[in-house]
Amino acid sequence: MILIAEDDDGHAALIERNLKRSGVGHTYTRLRDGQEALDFLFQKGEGAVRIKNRPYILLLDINLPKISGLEVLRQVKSHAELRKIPVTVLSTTDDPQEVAQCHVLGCSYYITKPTEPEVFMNVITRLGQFLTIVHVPHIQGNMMSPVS
Amino acid sequence: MLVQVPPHSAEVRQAPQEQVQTDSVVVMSRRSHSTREVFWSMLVLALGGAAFSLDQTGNVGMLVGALYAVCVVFASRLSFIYAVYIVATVCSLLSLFGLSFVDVDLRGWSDVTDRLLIVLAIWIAAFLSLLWDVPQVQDQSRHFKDRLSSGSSLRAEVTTSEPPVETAPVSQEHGDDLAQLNHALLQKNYELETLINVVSHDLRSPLVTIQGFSKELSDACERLRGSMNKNTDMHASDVALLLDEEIPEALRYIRAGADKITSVLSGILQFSRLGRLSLACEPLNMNAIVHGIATVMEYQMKKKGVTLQIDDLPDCLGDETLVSQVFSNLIENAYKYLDPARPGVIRITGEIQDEKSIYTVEDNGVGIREDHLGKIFEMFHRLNPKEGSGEGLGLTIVRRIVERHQGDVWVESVFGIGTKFMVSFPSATTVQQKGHV
Repeated sequence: MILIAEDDDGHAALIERNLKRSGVGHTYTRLRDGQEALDFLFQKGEGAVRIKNRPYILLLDINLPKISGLEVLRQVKSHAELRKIPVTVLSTTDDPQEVAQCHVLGCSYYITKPTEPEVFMNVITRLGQFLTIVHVPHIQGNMMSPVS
Repeated sequence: MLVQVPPHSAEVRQAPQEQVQTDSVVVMSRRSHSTREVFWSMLVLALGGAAFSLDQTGNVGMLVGALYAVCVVFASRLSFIYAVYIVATVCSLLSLFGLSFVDVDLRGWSDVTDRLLIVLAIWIAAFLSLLWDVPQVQDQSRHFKDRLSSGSSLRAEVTTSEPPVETAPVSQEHGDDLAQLNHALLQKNYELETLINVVSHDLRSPLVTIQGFSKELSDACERLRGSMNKNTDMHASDVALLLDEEIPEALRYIRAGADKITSVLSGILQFSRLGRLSLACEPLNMNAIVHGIATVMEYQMKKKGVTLQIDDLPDCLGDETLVSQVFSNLIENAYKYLDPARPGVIRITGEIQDEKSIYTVEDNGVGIREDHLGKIFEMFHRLNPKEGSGEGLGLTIVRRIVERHQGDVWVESVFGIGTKFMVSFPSATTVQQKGHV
């Protein structure tokens, strides 16, 4: 299952369309802000939550309302089970410091959203092609104590 | 603002400018003055050089002395006259000590008296030139003395050399002004940077959407055209899907993107207008102003059963339009984020503390989580973009207005309990000194 944590509706729709077109025929879940993303992953709140024993890929925007993408990344990666989820950061900035910080926190890949629509589509398509060959671990069970 | 000056060369070059400014009779621009300085320097150099080479080639006594003397007289037009006197003296004495390039023989007493006469001529010329242009030289000597006595005064003179009147060493008052200007400049700079950030992110992301879905649209057109021309493998259901879902969806996103850009642009315009308006500060009757705002909002408040309590408020000093905007933004904000689960209460209080009028707008609404508190004044930042209307500018504008009044705004909030916004303005009793901030 592909999780798209992205506040911009248009971007989320574009990403989903292009991923589908490139052959990533999974189910997609849209998370509108950092809070929604954490609630989903940590199985909290009233909305849809993560289902046990399924593989997940998280596409994470950094500039998210409520809780920033960086914080989401930090919490996901400091959890014993959730840290297995491959996280691809999609951000509008290409600030080397931010790129470095995301990798320190444990993101798998950092992709800068290109402003050129053609390039943007191209990047998403290539990401899709890549995701089709990636082996994704299943995320087990209920909540475990976070890694200290 | 600090111009770093190498200690020697620049000091000397700086001198003529000061001279012009201290001598109220001679007024000329820096450019013409420095051209003049160059001219006299060249003349003195040429004459000095001629005198020195003549001196070296043969024993021409009086002629050399005369040349040095003329050189010194001309040098009085220069700021570094003392240097010229000394150089001339040293040059004329050099050959005495066998340092001459051509004639290295030890000289007789006649040569010694010859040299001494030349030196005497130089200093007589120097004395004459002092008489010729007394005020100028006096000014210069004073400057030289000043500079000798305090090295730091020069730096101050150099730094303020732009407007001629401010050439005097910086007084305490000027220092304060500079610090204030510097602060204002930093603030402006910060705002500009924020604007650039907003432009780069908040405009870029809807643009990507617009461009992306435009491409989707053109792809859809291609497919439609293909289905019409070649009657390919495209089914009627596919065409219907395109026309009924994909194309309208793309159009909806494009329109939403354009709306977003419009709202960001109007926000930027509104914000920049705030920065340019000059303030018309006057003592304000805050009771009247806040009750006025309350009257306007009375209908919607009543409809939702919200209680608005207004205590007796102290007056303050500010621009009426802008101060009203601060309060209407704060009250609207409190109203917008009330908790639907309980009857809303908004309370406005005020007090005077340390010559500041401090007002509190307190609500029992949803509150702000602690980790969000730092972000609420950020431009275009919205905690719940899906809920309610707004551009994410209300509190940014509040902060901007309050800062322009040299006041302050801060917030206390307990998530789930309510929020307290505090603003301070200069109190009406403070001296009306900041008419134009």
